[in-house]
Amino acid sequence: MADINLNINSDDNELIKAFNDGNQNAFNYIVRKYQKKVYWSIRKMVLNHDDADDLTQEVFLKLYRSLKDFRGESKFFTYIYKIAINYSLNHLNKNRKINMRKVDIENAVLKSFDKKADEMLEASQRTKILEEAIESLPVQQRAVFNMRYYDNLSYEEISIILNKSVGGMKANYFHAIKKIEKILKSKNFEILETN
Amino acid sequence: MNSKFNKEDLKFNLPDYILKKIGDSELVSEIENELKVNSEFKKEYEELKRTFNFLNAAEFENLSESYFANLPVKINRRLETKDSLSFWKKLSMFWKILIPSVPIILIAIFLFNNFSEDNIDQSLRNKIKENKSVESHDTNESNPTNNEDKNKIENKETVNINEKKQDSNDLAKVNKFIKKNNKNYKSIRKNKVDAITEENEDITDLLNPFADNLDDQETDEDEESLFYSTDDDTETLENEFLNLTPEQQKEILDNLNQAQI
Repeated sequence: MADINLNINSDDNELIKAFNDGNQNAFNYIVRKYQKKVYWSIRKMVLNHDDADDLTQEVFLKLYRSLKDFRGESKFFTYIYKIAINYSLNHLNKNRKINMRKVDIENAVLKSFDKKADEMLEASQRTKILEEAIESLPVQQRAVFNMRYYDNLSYEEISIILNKSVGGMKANYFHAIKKIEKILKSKNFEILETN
Repeated sequence: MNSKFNKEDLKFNLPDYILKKIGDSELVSEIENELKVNSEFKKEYEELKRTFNFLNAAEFENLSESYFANLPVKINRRLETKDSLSFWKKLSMFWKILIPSVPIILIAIFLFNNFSEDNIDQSLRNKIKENKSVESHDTNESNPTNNEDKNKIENKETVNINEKKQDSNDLAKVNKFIKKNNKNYKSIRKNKVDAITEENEDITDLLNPFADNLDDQETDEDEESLFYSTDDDTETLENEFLNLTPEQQKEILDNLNQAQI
């Protein structure tokens, strides 16, 4: 099947239709379109690159097999996101890899060669505290916080993905931020005062 | 002034208010009014704002673009690997189900065998019972007076047993008489043999006066052996007695009793 009109910016429904018609390249476009979003969504949940890499590949494998069953009742990214969150939650429930986070922080310091040394140090500290704060969140609160704050999903979308009420999602989000605030206070970290 | 939002609703919407994500203008004005009049609500607002400032400044480590350039390749490679393993995965699933179920199957077979043997035993018992009932039923049909026939059979058996006993007693009696009176029997026999021999000698002399009597060559011992019974003779007598008819045996026994030998 000709894929002249298909590219990474093509409409999701077009890509899905082309894939279901046998165009394997359409799936590659879907992967390139959403791989970063999927990766970072997972990464902010599991807080570890290797785990995030493995889970990202598994999510797209799952998507490959289940794409023919997608009926278009929700947004396509919401469908993908649901798979990603479920895989992340399952992973977190099985494993708790706190120590792996420290390796990533050291790598972050080495890779941040555009910043001055003191800025690099502060950035690495900030990253470490951020990850520690997110890791302190219960799994559901972590998922709600990441979806709302980082991925800018609506409470309605979050409630669909997690199969919970909208009011409950709002409460989860508020309590997640309060918990991060508590971690920051316990670290006596100087929070930047900006308007 | 009644508000459609309670204090908890206003509190939970503070994060979105700080990030300017609230689309409802009425809600926004409610929050702003609350901030003006409620110091605790304002303090809450300030702390949340500081937290969001930190979150805005903090970042996760950046990844190089090469990672995302290679990610589709890795995904395709994994797809191909998974497809080739699907058969083995299915087989492993099969074994995952089969192996745990083996003990259950073995237990079921064991129970079934025991249960079936019990059934067989039970069926056999039932058959035996049925046969017994059929036999007794048949017996009832052919012999209307069951008790009388039973008595007859029992009597017949008693008679047979008694007859056998009588026979063995008689045989013992005969042996006893023979052994006890063996000497007398020997002497009686000798007298009879002597009488017969004399008669034979007279006849021989008459017929052949000049012939040697070859009988002279027999020893006395041999002669005596003709006259005296031995154990072999006793056994022969027993066999001869047993070969007789019951009436004959009885006659001999009566004679022996009368003779008191």
